[in-house]
Amino acid sequence: MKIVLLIKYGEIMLKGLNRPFFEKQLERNVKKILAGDFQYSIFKEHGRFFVEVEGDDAVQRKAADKITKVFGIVSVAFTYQVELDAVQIYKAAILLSKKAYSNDLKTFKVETRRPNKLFPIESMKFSALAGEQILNEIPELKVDVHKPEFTVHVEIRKSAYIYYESIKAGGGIPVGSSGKGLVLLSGGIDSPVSAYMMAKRGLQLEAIYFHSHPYTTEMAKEKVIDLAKKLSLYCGNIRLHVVNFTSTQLAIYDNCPHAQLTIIMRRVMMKIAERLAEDIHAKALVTGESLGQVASQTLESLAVTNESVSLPVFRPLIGMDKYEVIKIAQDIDTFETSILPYEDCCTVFVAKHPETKPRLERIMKSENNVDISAMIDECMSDIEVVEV
Amino acid sequence: MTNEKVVYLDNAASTKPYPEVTERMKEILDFTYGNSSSAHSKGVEAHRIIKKSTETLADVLNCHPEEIVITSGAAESNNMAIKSYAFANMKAGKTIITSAYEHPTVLTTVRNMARFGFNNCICGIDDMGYVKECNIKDNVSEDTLMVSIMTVNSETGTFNDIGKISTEVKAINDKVAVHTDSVQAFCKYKLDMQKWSNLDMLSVSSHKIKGPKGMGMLFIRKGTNIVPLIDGGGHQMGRRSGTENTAGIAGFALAAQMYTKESANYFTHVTELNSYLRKQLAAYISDYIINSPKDASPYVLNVALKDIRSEVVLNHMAGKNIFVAAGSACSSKHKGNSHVLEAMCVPGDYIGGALRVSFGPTNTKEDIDIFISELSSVLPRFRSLRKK
Repeated sequence: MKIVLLIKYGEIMLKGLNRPFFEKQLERNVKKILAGDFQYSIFKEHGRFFVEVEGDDAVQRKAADKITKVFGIVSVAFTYQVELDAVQIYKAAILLSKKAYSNDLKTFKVETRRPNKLFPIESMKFSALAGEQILNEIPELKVDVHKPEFTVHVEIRKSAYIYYESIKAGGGIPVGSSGKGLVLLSGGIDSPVSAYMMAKRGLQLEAIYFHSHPYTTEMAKEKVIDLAKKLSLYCGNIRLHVVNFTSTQLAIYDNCPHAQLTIIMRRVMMKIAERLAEDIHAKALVTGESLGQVASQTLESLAVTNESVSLPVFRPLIGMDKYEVIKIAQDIDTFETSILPYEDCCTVFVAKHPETKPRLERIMKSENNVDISAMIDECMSDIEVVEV
Repeated sequence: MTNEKVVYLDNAASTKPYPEVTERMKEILDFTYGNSSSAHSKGVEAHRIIKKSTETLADVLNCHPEEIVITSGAAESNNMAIKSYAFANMKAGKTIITSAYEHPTVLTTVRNMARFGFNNCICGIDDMGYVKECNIKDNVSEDTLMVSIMTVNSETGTFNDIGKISTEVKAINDKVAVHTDSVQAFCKYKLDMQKWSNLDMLSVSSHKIKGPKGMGMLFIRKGTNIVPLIDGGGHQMGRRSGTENTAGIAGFALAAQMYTKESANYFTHVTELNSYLRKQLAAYISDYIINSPKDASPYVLNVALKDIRSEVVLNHMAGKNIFVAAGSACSSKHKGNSHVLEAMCVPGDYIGGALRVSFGPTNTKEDIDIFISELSSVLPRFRSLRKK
């Protein structure tokens, strides 16, 4: 009996006339993530993708695991594909039930969907018939239609698909279907999570990282590259722009009040990011800011930072607790990398008592002490691009 | 501008293997790939190489080949010395004495032996890193199981006369075993196991003397009772099981032989470099202290610069192809100051700026000139960045 992966997608189904656009993007993304590593074929039936992967169970599971990371998909199921023949379907259903029983699952129900009305037996009736067949073979099982320990799903389409086991996927909409954004990636916990969340809403991402050699270590840069690699499993390939930020940071340090260092630095970073976004045709910036987390993320600070650019700034973590962010970071496997101790080795650029309620006019006055546009030009001319 | 020339002044962390060593190892990997335990000629061939290499290593230490256990490096040797001895002699005493300036592979191991009911006594060191002899002598008692003191400290180069210490310890309680971590002394000083007749165990690493990484040895004096850490096929007279690394052992032995042969010349050469560096520091650098005593190993010089973070200097230098260490390379994964320098009570405004410069036979005065010139040019900038 042939096994195929059945891919269900969620929100895309709610789309109207533009649904084919999303489906195409999803198909492209699934193909991209499987390319190179697997021999496979894809076919579509209404509201479903099916992927047939060559290889044994371990290979198929590896492929399924990769596919669950493609946004737009809600679940991936291992299904038996058989002809539209009741006896064949029963066989598959019994086989699966035996497997479930061997995994210590003891109560079940059968659920049939029948988009293909040419099949003569109605859904409810077919479920009952299949249930009977299963019970005949494995009398130790019991039917429980309310809270079954496992459900045998039967989908009657051009072929019949039978499964009980499916892996939950991330949901959302396909990366690339919402245009492009530029994420300000640091080595911390938050920014990778914010990138993940915006990719889930369909943004294709490039990333910008501000490197202050020798005040930040080479290992810190490596760490950001590693994080981008981990994100690329979900977001697709990421182009990482590493900006040499040292002289800008020093100029701000030398010429601006120290309580304002962080806020001015962030404003300059945003301006550089906006300039880069323009160059790469990104229509939004993405940051990992969360309201009230640190001095530079109070409402007043965020307002002042926000004022520095006119592009929309997405802050998907704005209303989240640190613990919620950490939970996602753990789920997407960026947490362990983020907490490696290669942060800025020099904390001199962080003031002892940073302003928590900066006022825009004062900040702008301080900014007059440095030539910001020249600084931005200099940074723009010294960017290393890393393809991840 | 990056120097074309690589200035490698981090030889206490690791060294570049002799070309003869890598050639010899490749030859063995290519041709003598048999398992030394196999009875056929390929095995016998490997066995012969290992036997010969072990004899060479024994020659260097002036001990019997049977007194040598080949290990995966100094970390294993130190762990083995402490654990293998302690577990085999649990009735002889419960207290392990060591010093505050040991490498973490000794210090952490001794501390963690508390899990198995052993006590520890960590002796203090003076401001130049010498283990306070009175501390050791005062603490040796009937309950003392073993004493482990490093020969040459990896961060400061301080040389402790382990021959004398072991004699004094034995004079108080001759049942106490004495171990020394001689990683930074091996091949650089004449380590004579006949002369140091009161020393029971000595750890050594291969990659510090231009041999391959992943190799080391533990000298265990005849009659010393130990249990193996790794049981199995009974290799190395049952003291450490596991297929022997023919190429690694041969490479290690060849490096030890070559290094020993040139040892006196190397010593004179690095002594000159060390005093030249001291002289140049005095001429061109302000506000620093030297944490290595005058009679320390000339291979290491620890210099602490006032009001800077040593990582910043290290990162900057690395960008210029100049390689030095901040404190100790093994500590660079951890934040905070060196435990050795803290134990030596190095002043607070200096301790964060400690650099370890360590020489090898191929270093030249020009290397030191390049280092000093770079350091003197960046220090004012780094020092102007004090946290405000």
